[in-house]
Amino acid sequence: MADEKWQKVREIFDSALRHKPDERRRFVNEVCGDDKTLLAEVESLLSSHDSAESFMETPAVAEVAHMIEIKIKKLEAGKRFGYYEIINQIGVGGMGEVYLARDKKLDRKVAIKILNEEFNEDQSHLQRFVSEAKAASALNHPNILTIYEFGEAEDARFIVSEYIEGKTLREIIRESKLTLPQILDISIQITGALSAAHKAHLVHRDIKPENIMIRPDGYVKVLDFGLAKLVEQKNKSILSLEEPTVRQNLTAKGVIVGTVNYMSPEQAKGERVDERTDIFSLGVLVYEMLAGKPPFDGGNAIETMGSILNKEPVPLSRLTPEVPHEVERIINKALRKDREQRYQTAKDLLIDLTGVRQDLEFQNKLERTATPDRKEAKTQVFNPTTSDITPHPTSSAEYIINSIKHHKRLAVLGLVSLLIASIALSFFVFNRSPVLTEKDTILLADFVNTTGDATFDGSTLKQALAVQLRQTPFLHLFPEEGVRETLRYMGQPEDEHITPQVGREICRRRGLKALLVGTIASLGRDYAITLEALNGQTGETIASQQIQAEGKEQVLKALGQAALELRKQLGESLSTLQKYDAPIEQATTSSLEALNLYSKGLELQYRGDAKGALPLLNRAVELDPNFAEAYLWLSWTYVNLGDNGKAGDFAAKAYSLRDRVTELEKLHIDEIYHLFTTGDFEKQKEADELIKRLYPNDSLAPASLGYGYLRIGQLEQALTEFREAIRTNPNESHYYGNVSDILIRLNRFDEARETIKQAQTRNLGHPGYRRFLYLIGLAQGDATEVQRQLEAIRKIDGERRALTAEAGASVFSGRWRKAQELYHRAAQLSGTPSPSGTNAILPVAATIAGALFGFCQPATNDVRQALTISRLNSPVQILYVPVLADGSLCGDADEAQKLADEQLRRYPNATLLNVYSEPIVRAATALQRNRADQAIEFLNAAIPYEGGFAAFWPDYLRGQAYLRLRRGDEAAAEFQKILDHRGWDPASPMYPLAHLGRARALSLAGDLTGSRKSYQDFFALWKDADSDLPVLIDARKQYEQLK
Amino acid sequence: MTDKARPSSEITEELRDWSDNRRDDSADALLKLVYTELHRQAHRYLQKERVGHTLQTTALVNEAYLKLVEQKSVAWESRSHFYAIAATMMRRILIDYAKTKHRIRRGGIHSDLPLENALTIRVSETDFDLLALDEALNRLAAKEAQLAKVVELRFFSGLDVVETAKVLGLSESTIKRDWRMAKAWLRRELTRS
Repeated sequence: MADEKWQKVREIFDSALRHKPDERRRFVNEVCGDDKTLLAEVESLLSSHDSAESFMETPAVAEVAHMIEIKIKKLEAGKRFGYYEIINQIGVGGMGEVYLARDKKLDRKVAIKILNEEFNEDQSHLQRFVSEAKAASALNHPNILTIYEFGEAEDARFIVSEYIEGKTLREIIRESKLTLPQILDISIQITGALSAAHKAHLVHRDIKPENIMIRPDGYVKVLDFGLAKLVEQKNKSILSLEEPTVRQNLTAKGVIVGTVNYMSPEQAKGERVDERTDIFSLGVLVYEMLAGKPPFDGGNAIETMGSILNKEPVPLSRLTPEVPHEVERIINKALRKDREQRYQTAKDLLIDLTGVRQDLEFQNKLERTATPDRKEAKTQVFNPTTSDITPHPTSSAEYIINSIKHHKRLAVLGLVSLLIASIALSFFVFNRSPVLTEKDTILLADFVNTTGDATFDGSTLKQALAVQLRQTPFLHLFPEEGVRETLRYMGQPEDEHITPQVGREICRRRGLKALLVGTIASLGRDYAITLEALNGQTGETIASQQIQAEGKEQVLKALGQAALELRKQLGESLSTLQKYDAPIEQATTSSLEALNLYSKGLELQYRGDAKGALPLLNRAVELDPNFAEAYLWLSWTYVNLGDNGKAGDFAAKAYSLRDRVTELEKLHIDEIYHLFTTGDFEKQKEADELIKRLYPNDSLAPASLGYGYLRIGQLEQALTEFREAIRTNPNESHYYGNVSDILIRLNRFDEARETIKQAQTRNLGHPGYRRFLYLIGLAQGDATEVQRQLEAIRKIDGERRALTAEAGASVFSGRWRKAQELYHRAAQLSGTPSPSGTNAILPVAATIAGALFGFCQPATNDVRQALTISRLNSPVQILYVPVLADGSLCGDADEAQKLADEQLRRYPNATLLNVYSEPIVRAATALQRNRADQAIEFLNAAIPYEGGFAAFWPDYLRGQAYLRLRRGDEAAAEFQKILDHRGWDPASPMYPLAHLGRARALSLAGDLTGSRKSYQDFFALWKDADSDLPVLIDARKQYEQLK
Repeated sequence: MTDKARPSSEITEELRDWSDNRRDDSADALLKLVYTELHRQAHRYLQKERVGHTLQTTALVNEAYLKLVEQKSVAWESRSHFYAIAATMMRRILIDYAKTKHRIRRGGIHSDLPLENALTIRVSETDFDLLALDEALNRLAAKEAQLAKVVELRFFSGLDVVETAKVLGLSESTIKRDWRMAKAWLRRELTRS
């Protein structure tokens, strides 16, 4: 209808309505005259008007109010959303709302982004986005925001990610002008993230300051990978404000909302984007950080896009003359309009940026040397580059074992092997890989079983194949933790079968070079076995082997032969083929049934169900008593169950069969045998060093080694080894606990805390984490933190752990009765004759404290029981219990000596017994015989091992011995050492008692002021102590006399 | 209208001062306001359980607007422009909700939707199809943009006649007339199909 006509209709309509209803008809007829169309139009509108009374009078919101309400209700503070508890809303963006929440399961803060409903609509785009975002997150790059989960609940899609405390780069830029080193540092971190993403063919598409978060420690996180694309595809929606390329005509006037400043020319033109788009956007970003304004800005979106396409930015040097030439050159290159002329990869850009930074640092150094102490801090402010995300410290002994324990075997199984290629170069040149190279990792899929025979189901053949393939350093199998982690990102259950399809997906996400798919089919009574190696990215076949087995009994043997052939085909050298050639049926078992049980047992282990694994493994060794691998696993299973004694027995059994197994397994058997059967660290070290050399991707060896070092106080070495273990297997939660433990021992508390955060950021969880945080809180005197962690332990890890932790704190502050009660309750909870070593130690811990506080109690029986169960790895302290109390010996030195001798007879080469127990027990005995001088001599042997399992004991005893000898200065020095190394054992009662010891020592040395001060320090720590503790009563008396 | 004390001309002037940059921020801020407002309206609506048929609303009133202004991050040229954008956004959001609802009601793709959730969504509050209305409104805008704008403000953002008149800078009687016309026209469009 033409405009005029419409106007006319309106006029008549309005006028008609000014007439009374019964006159309207006549009026309209009159006005319209002969124009029948007009008449019909107006009449129909009038009749519509008459029935439209309530029409649209209820606002539209009513229609969907319930849906909106559901959403609000769900997300009020304190509201549970799955196992997330909403804390508060932290933002609203174009994609949806973002909430801060607490993950109750893992006790950590997370950010939850609830996607707006409109994104639900297009499932395929959403899927693509989800998989892309997961893939980016799965890169595990420290500068890429980690996504924990994608979910759907109550009609909302949500994304759970790590919570970053910090500011967006936009906020940072707005608040202050960044220095050149800061800008370089930020740029380098972003480029690093992009480089990693690009390598996996992920383009961000929307690099802008709003998508970059900076943590207070300077860490940079790139957010929202994949999101931009989703928004692009959803461009008709008005909500997509964050989206870069699309014009959104919000009004008739054509307003564009959203940022176009960071668009690349190809985006502005609506062309296909690629990696180089991100490079351009990054160039814009860096330019803006330096110049204080973006390079292309036309006042409005259309003009800005125009200048992106056609204008050259104002040269940086004109805006900020101090910018080095090289920096300007780099930015210009990133900002080339023709992408062919830009940096082609983020890596190239990274190299240049890093180069500039190095040059600048070097120059700075020169300048600083020339003009001393001038503005040194400048480069420091923003230093945390990707490389120094490191962790730290140490602490309690029991944990470490657990840590290696559990996963030890998991790791082993998973780890492994590398395909070393002969022609690595050709791969890069032609982008094809005829064979694998040592850098490549391969994934084993589950066997495809078409025989109908359940024996071949599940992972039976896969585990056998894994053993066979793992033996050669040429192959690197993708670790089991990695598989499970990737499945999690894929939204699949962790025990999902690795079908060839799932396998391909994992390869794609993790950039794995090859997928190995095995098939077994029946041919009458025979079996056909096929092994096929596929290119992990393209799916194309790299190598394949087929072999026929005559009858079921021959299947394993045939599989072994096929595997060997395949290794050859993949490019393994003859020499390693010959060296690592243990036949599969011998390296595992010739009994398919035993193999089947073993595989199922392993599966349970992987899932952390040691108890469930036990009967299966036991049954497997019943079927084949020579099944060395199964014994090895049995040993680890018992370690996981806390029964180191049994673990030692099975390790010994595995050791007796070690000649049958593959080279790697042999070394791992040596390792566990010396760890749990002989306790001989030197021997264990040999095995581990060998594994490290031959199988550089085995994370277990460095971890075991690190554990060994940790136990004897070689903390720096221990740290190095665990960091190596993390490098090899960053998904193993225990390693972070161990690193944290070591750092605590080194008094590097903040780093220790940071390490745990880092692990949690990776979605890893472990009860030890909270305990370490608790210890750090204790060590730093942070009562709130202690309380918070205690609650977390109680809620998440259970009452027993909470009671034990609380008991430790009570002992520390001299509340012995409370500690006793707590220990008692904890022991009750665990059910006494449980196989748990920690359980047996509880009463001993209470007794030790009592002895130190002046209450002597016979503890021999408790100690004996604890020893039976935990044997070599029990905290050695239990040996000292009967021996001493503060200053005056208590207990039965002879009995202690007898126990120690028994242990040593049994385990003559056990490192811990030799470096700690032996000298300490002897020293205690000597003290009891009033031979303090001898005691000191014995204890000298333990000095090189300070900071390990024995914590403060050697120093404490030496302090006591010097007090006996009335050598005040030396005694004071020993106690001071304890006070300087709180981290060795943050909750130890010997720490407060060291103040007391020092007070006495100083008084002996004639330093009465110092002595009084130390007494006061002691009283302060023990302000809530039980008033009748003999040691406290004595201390008060002595203090009075001093005044 | 909580802040009547502040004359609108002044606001517009302030706007000009601040409108030099940060368009992106203001977009985010606006979106946030729009959402908050929708939540508030929805909540209020449900609280009242339709006692009286209208929703008392001060949708996107000065309060919200001034918040934006205070953030000094506004690039919107004028107040009515601001409301117009906000109203359009609300329209889109509501339509998106309606689409989802449609899908759910028809038991389409969302077969995995937990039953109890599906049940909490009641039958339509209105006796017409919001999606059809949305389409009709587009056609109406082609005839006379102002009518569509009035509908967006009245129906989608829940403003009353007085508020709508203020926002558009027109007289109340004009708004009433426009509203009446739009209703009749849209109603006819919807019953036709």
